[in-house]
Amino acid sequence: MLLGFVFLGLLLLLILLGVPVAFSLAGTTLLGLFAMGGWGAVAAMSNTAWSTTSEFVLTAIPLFILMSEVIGATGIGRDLFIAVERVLGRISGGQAVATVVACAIFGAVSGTAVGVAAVIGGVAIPEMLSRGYPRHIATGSVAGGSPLGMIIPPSLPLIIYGVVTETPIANLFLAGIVPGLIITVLCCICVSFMVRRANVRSEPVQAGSVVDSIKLSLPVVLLIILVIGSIYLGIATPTEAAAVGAVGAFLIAGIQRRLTWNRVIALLYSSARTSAMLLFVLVGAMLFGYLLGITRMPQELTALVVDLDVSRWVIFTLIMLAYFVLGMFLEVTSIILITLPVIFPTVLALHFDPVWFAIVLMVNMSLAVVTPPVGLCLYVVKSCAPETSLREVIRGTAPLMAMYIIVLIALCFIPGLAIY
Amino acid sequence: MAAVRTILEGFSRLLFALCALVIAIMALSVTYEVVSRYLLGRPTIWVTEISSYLLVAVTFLGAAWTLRIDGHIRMDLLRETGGWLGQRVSDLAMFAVAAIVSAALLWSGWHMTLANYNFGWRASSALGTPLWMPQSLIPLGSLALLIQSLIGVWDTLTGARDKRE
Amino acid sequence: QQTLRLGHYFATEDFRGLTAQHFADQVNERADDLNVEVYPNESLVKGREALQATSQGVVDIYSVYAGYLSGQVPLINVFSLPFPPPAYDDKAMYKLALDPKTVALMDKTFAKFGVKYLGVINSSGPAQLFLRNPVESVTDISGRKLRGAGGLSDVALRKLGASVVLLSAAEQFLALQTGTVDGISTTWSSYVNYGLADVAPTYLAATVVRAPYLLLMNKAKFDALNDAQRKAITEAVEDTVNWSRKNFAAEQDELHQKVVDQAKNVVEVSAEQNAELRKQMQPIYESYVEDNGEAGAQLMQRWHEVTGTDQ
Ligand code: NA
Ligand code: NA
Repeated sequence: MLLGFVFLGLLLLLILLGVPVAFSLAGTTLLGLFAMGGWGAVAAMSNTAWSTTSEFVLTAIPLFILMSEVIGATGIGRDLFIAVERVLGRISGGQAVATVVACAIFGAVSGTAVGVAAVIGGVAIPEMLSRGYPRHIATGSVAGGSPLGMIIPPSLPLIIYGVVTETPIANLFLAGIVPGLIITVLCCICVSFMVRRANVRSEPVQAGSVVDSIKLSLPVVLLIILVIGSIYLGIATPTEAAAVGAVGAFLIAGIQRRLTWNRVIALLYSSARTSAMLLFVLVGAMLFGYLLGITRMPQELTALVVDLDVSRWVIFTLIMLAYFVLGMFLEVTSIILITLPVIFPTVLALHFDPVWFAIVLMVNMSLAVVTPPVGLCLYVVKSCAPETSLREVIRGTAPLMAMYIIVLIALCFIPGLAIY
Repeated sequence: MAAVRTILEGFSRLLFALCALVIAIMALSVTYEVVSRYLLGRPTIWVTEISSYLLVAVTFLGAAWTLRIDGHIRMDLLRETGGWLGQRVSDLAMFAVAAIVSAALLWSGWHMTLANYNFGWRASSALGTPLWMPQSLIPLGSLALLIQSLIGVWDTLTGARDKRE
Repeated sequence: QQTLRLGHYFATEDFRGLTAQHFADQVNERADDLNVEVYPNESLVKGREALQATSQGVVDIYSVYAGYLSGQVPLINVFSLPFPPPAYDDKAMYKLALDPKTVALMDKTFAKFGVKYLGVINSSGPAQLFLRNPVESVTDISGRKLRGAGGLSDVALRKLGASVVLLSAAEQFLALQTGTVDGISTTWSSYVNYGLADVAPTYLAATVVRAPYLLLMNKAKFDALNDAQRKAITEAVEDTVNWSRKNFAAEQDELHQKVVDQAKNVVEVSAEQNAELRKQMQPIYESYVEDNGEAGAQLMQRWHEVTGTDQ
């Protein structure tokens, strides 16, 4: 178990040095395996890399990324934002509120938080900055709203949770809807308050007719129907729905004559880059999980926690804190894959509902995507506004994260919010 | 020297282009499976299996060029606060660790692929794909990643990387 | 003290998880200098990578479902021939698996891959058919979309006119609920544990496959053990097989009762239908012998003996 902590320390050191997360994870594993079992043990590298990547369910990762790229690059995402902005633009802090709502709507198409951050961030942040919103609010409302992509169905992390724990994915998806909507409302109130406090004098948005807004948001609405509809009508599995959504987005963009040959190639390249990056982090995380597994640190730590003579809510709180810490350093998918085989039996042993726990975990993981050093949405949002410092982004995101924590606590007192 | 570099980096670039193509093929074939099963009542026997191999391709073919364009997510604390030296140390650490990791993946991936070839192991599926075929993507991609990492180490040490930025 | 890592696919409290733990306890009791650590839930190595990982020494021992190995070690398909006769029950399966000739053949086959064949410690019980809509007999599965169990049984389902869909276990419930698939071939324990009765109320009692779980060990690791340690392992396997067989029967009776209670329609398969199924499966049985040469012919011979069928 002690050895496990040594490896964690080494991992942290490499990450702080600026070694990419994927290579820090794989490098620590390599050193650990070699130290514990010599060259023979290094065979685990290729075995784990192969078994992690040759998994059909994970094809949803590049496919959700591809769908986001199509929507972002073709201007379908921009149209959605403008449509929402025209309806909500006149109320106090209208554009920040519109940003959060657009995140929620796009969250019903996208399966990942990063996808939402990229598409909505690319449109909303320049728009808000040009209208005089402070940088921290412009970036924070996107980063804070982006986790809705994985709470509101469809959700890639929930698919993976379902696969690992063999919990019906349909139930997980249904359970995410109400908490997702509550978070949306709370975040809207929060950003509206932040805008008022910052004393923003933004130019009013030109009000458009509701008919125009409906027309503009039609492509995204069609995609929501296509993705969610194909899952619940028995046409496609949740994994396959990602492909249906990606091809659907291409078709819609094609019909609207928004696709050029160059654009298609650029968005395919961009998808390739993001996919290779995320999948390599995943491989690294699985490797590191194997290493920690053979040091028996997670097993012994769990046993230690379960044997504690305290209330199950104390243990639950410890689990949530552990997830928060892990969330700082790892990517959501890999956290789920690494921890659940160890944590899930404990959750069942303590008589927590597996569907409810999944949603609580998603809300907790919403913090993971925006906490440094590894917060993918933070970096995506920052890349949409390069002159903004990371500190400003975090300053704008923190108040919205408080809303997620409120909902997490509410879920503990009123489980009915997720399981009905 | 420049010609060698062009060829070596061209290798990474080629694999990256294949990676992008593979994502498109994956989207189309999974959609084909859905349509064929739902509308024609005829699920295919190949889409699920082939798509899982395509995922191996996306991971390993795209990694090298992604390193070249600084696309692997990292923490930029030392680079931003450590000045000229911090930047050098950080980049050197990145490329050195990437080189060691890709060498290990190349070595162990090669042995895995070779063993599967010698044993004649096939997937337990209707297609019965010989497993060494998709597995060989791992040493292939790792080779490109190793080359790209070594180029990165060289560029950092010679200062060529500063000029490029 | 030497540590051996034992991996498996199941939850700790699953019967097969308990069996793996029983084996570990037995070894640890018999040999002070050995320590078997159990890694459940595929936490170390995935089930379908069991053979490769054991061969490479990524894990030392693995308890693996024979269906996962059908592409790598086609010889073991003799245990999981599709739609076997009712006489091929767990007793017959163990008789086939524990026969010294079978063990010698398996040992030789697995040794080529650097793997030591320790034996069979679990049965899957019968994997049968569960459907969304009522059917009258096995012939009605023609034209339906079924989630397959992998290996030769998928070939058999296609032969009967069904389409086989590949799905992960987590997607099966939703797929049955929404009609992405019309039915599923699975074990009684999965049917009960995943609450599939709500979405697949028709139970068609045709046994698609019954497969053993093989206990495999890295050969180099095994060969490096001293005589006392090897003896401890061999004895632990024997004890575990007896323990598993004794307790599995009671577990299965209970599960079968639950399946019958939970399913809305229970469709039994008549003796004539069973005979007809066997006739349709004949080409698959023959291709098994063709693909596996002399060893395959010998094992097939034993299979006919234990099932009391003529050739
Ligand atoms: Na979503
Ligand atoms: Na984080």
